[in-house]
Amino acid sequence: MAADAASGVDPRLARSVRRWLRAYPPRWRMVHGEEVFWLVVELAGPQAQRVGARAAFDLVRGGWATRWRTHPPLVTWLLYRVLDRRIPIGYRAWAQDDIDGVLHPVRLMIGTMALVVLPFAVLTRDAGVLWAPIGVVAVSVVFWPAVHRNRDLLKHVAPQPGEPLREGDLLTVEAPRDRLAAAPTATVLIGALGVLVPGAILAAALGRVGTSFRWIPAGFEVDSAPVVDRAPAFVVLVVALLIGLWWARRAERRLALLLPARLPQPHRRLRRRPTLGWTGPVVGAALGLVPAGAELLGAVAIGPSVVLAVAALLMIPSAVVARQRVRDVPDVAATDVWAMLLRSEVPPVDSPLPALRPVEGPVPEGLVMPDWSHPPQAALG
Amino acid sequence: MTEQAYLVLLSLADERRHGYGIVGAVLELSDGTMRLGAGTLYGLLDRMQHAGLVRDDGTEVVDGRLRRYYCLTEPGAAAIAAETDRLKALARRAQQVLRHRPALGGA
Repeated sequence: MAADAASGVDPRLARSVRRWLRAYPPRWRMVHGEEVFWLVVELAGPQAQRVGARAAFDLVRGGWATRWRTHPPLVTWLLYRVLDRRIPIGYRAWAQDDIDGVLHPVRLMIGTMALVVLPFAVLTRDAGVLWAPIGVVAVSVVFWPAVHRNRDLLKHVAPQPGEPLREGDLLTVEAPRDRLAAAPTATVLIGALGVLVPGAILAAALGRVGTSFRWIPAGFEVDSAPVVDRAPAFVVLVVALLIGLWWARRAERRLALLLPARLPQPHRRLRRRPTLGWTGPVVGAALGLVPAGAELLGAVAIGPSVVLAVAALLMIPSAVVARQRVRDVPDVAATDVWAMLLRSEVPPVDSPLPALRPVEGPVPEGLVMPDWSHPPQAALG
Repeated sequence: MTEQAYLVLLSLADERRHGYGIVGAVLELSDGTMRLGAGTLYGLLDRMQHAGLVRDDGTEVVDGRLRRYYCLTEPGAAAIAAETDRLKALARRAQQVLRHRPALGGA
């Protein structure tokens, strides 16, 4: 830190002190972190390069004692963690640390599992069927942690109607909604879908296992067999390409009509790339190539890769047309193009996103959190 | 009240002090036998603040170093007086006991 260097503290000592201070919870460090830092530095002496073993042990013991002392009691904690009951006011700072923590999504998952899986597993001795809903929750908490964080902060940390407001309290404000810009999204989509087509063509041309189909008295039977005729796969791909090209012509007409009619979007912030970068589409494309690889190796019959390539061929021409159309229109979001192409409608105006901001500056004495669900009569008039 | 807590409260009896000042005063009051670590001191201060015995008396930045001062509250002063009386009474009783044991060198 610049302040450490300016005060003549050995940077190695400063790093060491800050590392050991991490034993304390963040809420405590926010209030006392700096003063304890300087106390440890002064107690270490002018020649010290790191915190001594005894002082380090003292800090770890003190930090964990503080964590333990400020932790909610077991019943309160269980109600919060498992049943998502609002945390009492005295433990809000603890809850804020909990929600801000890197492992918050994991803790949410554990809470959900404890609520759903354990009782079910105990009652039925079979929790297998529950893995699907848990998977959905897991994906949502891992990929959209901000959504859960906002919701949880709003519920557990933000002051409730009628409570006195203090500086730093979290209040709901209207924030712009993040949307992906159409042009870069189309480029990535074309690339990610594009790799599926040559994969499927290679698999259809070189794959060794095909599918045999024959009628039997009870209906029909599908089985794996050596490939005899590769033509159907290629016919399917060509038909998909023709439909895709036809859709693209329709897409061109819709965009020409609807793009000029789009409305201003005051509650929107356009992003050129997603929060996590383009990892998702790249991983998706890589996973999409797995069937083609399996078919080339003869592990599965030719088919799944063709199905994926059909979807890609249906979409790619429209995506190319959309990219051409929106390349010079920087304020169009991918979701707008989606609305125009699929629903053939002028894209709706985004509503603002509720977000949390701490109250700044000194708050006048006696100010309480208003109840927005019951606006005063004067405001209604 | 532990000896550490007693000495921390006692160190704040005559003037407000910051963390380093408290550690120095406790070392002096204990005749050099009690050297508080930062973790121990702030654990005590947290609990005492929670119990209303000491309070935060503002921060100052000296030579770029942040210092928060602590001072005794009225209940804190009463607690230190009561504890001192208890220790005095204990010492008196101890002396009486020792007076009856001249072989142990009681005064």
